[in-house]
Amino acid sequence: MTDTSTTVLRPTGRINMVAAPALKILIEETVASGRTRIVVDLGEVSFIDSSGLGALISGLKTARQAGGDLRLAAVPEQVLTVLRLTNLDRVLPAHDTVADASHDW
Amino acid sequence: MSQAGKQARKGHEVEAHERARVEAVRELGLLDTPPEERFDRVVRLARRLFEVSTVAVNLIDDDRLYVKSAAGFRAGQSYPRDSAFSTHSLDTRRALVVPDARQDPSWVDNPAVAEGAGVRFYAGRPLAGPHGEVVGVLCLADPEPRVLSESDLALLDDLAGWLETELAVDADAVQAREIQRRLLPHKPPDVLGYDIAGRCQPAYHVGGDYYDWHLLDDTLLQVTVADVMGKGLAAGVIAAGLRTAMRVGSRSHTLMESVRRTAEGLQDDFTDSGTFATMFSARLRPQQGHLEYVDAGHGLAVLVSPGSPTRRLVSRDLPLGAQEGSLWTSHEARLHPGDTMIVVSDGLLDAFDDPGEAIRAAEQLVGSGSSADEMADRILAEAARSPLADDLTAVVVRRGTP
Repeated sequence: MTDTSTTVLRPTGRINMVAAPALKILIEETVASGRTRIVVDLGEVSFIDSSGLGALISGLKTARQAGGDLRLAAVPEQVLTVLRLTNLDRVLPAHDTVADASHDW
Repeated sequence: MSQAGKQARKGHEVEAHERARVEAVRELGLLDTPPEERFDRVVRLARRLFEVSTVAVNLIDDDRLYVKSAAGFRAGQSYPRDSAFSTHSLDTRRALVVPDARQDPSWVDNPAVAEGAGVRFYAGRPLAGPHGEVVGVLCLADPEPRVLSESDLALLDDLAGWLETELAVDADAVQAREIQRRLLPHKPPDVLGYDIAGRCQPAYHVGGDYYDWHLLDDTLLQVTVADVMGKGLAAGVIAAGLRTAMRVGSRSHTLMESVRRTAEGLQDDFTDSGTFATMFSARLRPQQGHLEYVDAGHGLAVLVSPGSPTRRLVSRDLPLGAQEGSLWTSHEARLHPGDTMIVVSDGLLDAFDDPGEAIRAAEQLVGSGSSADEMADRILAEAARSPLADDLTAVVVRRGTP
């Protein structure tokens, strides 16, 4: 069952050095408002670069420090490749759907 | 507060504002530097578009104007600030347009108007630095009177915006490039029986790539390639910290422990800047060809041996700064005579459809029997076919055949 307190963020397009700071701030604000269980739905993301990965890792740390977590759902192939290459799939496992990611916080 | 007190306070605020402004101008690092094509091309274009005799980009120091770029006028000189049109633009922080200075009581006595050919038309658009302070002025001048239309003013704004972008690039990317350049070793280590080369090509928005090598003792060579995620000065500063921490730590610790201490020492920097770094670091005993490596999420090192399958030198360890309290593990490999180790950064991935293709390209490269220098050059040339979105680093360590 989906936890009702889960917050889903849905960035779109390219998460690069231009867009990454906004995503980082969005996650920080979400956590600061008390919503610490975050699922980032990447279904509409076409590309992520190192700055984008930085934003996700930074968001993960922020959420965990607040006692929550950050999880990824609907991860596209390009993002999966980068996560596997950097071994970051160990800390940011990819879930198929938002519902899959929203279990067992 | 008395009237005089208010005025004094206002005067103090103006002074503080001006100090911050002058600091911003000097931080650009452009005063008294020669003309640069990136500014000159905007100036030339402005002169053609507006059909005026003179266009200049003036930087405004505390007591002088420095002409950074000019068309129809000599660049590289300074003028006293108080006699200049440009100063007015600075005071108002908006474009100043004087259609005919001879008809304008504020300007008719100015030496630039009264003397010589005389300036009659003048337009000055203030230029903001990366943090918003007015650092200079884009000036148009002509001996004939002129009225600027709304669309002319919009065009002037566009050209000024272009110049402001170039000014901002200077403040960050140029310095980042300089930091990166200083991090790189000047020449390959002198190791008997080995041919070693490294290259690092910065992208337009410089990332945090670097490579390093140094001899820990007469029989132990350490080679490191790292990529700090992110761009510009922030990434460059962390790369500098990484390099120092790895160099210092490696003198008295195992490779695994050096990486752990480096990550621990920089943890706050990684957290504050919201970044992390991938790193491949290896220790080589040249005589035996014995290789010990740590791969911190870098994933882009291969060992190519003629006649054997190519081996990726990878592990499942995390990048530095990704998670507090991480540990790293050492792995072993052997570099036989004729073998080559190639380590690149993720900038290279843009040039290939998948990692398999990149490995086949590496095998072909090694098979060509080229020197390490040639191989490193060819790796960079391969990636440079498309504009670099990220820095590109390549290190080649080739063991010769006796």
